[in-house]
Amino acid sequence: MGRSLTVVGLGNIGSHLVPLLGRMPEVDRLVLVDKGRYDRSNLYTQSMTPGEAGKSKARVQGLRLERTRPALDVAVVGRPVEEVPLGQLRADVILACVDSRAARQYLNQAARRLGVSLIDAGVLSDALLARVSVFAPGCDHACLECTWDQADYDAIEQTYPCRGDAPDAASTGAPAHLGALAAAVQALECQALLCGRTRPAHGSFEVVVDAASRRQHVTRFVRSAACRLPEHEPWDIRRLLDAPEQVTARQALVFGSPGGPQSDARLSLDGIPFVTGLRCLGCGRHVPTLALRRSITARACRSCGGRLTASGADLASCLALDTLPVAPCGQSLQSLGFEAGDVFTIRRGDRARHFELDGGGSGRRPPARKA
Amino acid sequence: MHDKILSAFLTRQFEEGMALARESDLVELVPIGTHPPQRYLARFRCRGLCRSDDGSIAEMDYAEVGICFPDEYLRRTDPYQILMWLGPSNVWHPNISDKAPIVCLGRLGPGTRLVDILYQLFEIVTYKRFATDDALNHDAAAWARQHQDWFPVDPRPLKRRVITLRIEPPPAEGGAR
Repeated sequence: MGRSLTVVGLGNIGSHLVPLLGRMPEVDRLVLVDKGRYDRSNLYTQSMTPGEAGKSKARVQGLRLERTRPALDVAVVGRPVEEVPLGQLRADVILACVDSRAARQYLNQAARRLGVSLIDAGVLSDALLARVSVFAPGCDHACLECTWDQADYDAIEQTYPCRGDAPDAASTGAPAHLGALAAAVQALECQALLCGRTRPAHGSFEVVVDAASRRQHVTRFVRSAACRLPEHEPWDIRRLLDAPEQVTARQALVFGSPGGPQSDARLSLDGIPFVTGLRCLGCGRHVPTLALRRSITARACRSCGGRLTASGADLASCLALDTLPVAPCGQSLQSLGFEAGDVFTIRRGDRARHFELDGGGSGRRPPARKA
Repeated sequence: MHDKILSAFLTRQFEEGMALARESDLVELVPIGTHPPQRYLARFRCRGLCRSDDGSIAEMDYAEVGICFPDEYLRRTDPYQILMWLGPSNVWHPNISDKAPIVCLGRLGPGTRLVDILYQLFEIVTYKRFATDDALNHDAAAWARQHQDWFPVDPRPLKRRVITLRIEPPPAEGGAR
């Protein structure tokens, strides 16, 4: 049976990794995720040509794969990984080749939720180091955050209310050959997982290739009791046959509490709050709304052109029947910003149930654009 | 609460925050919700600046800020979710919006302690610290650049200074009556 892979980040490492994965006979499906576009400054560090400058990284790599191996099923997603529905990331292995620490943290969480292995790669150009970390799923094995300390958390990119959006992580500027080295090691570890040479029972580990001294170091990671990611076990996700436009907020709340009163049920999407209103920083105008923050695109005030933003008073981590205005109960999840492949959670007291909206995951095609 | 690490963190913040409030004349801390609290109301009794109805800049003597520690606080922070400016609404400060309940402390990393947030808020309110370039209130930033001799508006420390006084009895005088 063919295996599926998700690759996130198509820069210094990812652009070299994709053709290696595309040539693995055991792989029959690849999901490519990157919000960026190639530009001419990437010519010397990433696998791209001058003619590809200005084009979407995900689309460029998808088209290349189509030429290399036409039978391969490729889906491309050109948006920030934190906004991609969890079901669309589902694969046998997730491969992270990202600069951003926030994106790595998000992918670690996604891999844990889905119960799949994560292979994370990075380079340190000054020291000529290529690093590949393999994180096995399951509650007994270390995750990425088990290896983090406060300094790692302090280095996470952040949004500043004074500045608006979060800055992008700085590019490593590593030479192409170092990125290609990390990609090759990452591909080797991926194939070892797919072929069963490495099993989840082997636990989590890291391979560092020191190209300067021509040495390799392997470190085993152990599960940290102080890990800040509270849930290491995979989510039990029930896959619905309904698309987001076919499910109302009320129906979603009923899914999670069959037969019982739904008044205390809470609807949420992992890590993405609901926006209940936007306020203009220029004129103070308040615009009532109800949608997931991910789906809010209007950022400029119609009256004065000032920046629209949601303050803490306008954010809600979950929706409940007893707090919902009447109208949104009958609204479809799509109109609230939910997408195919989203995994929403219904929480009642301490119990949480997870449901995936139709359209995501292996076996069924996600709505991502075909390359 | 299921997350023992977050629960221990919140308990520590409660103890440290309340201890600071006890030792300060300038901040009052009101925990909200069940123990360990995830929300606080911080009331500052220090001097700051506000804009009067006639447009002049005047002193104010109180400020209220809501502080929330979401479930993910130890892993990632969203300043919009953590801090909420509650008043006065006519506050005059580059880091505080006068149009929305938003205050910007600059970087607020995951797991930042409650007392650090209180100190930073105090420094903002009293103009010990303010943004001159990236600002939520650009008019206040421009004004502040030209009136730096006004600052800080309140030089008092947040935590009451402890001065140990030892009073010794006067030396005994022989034959004192």
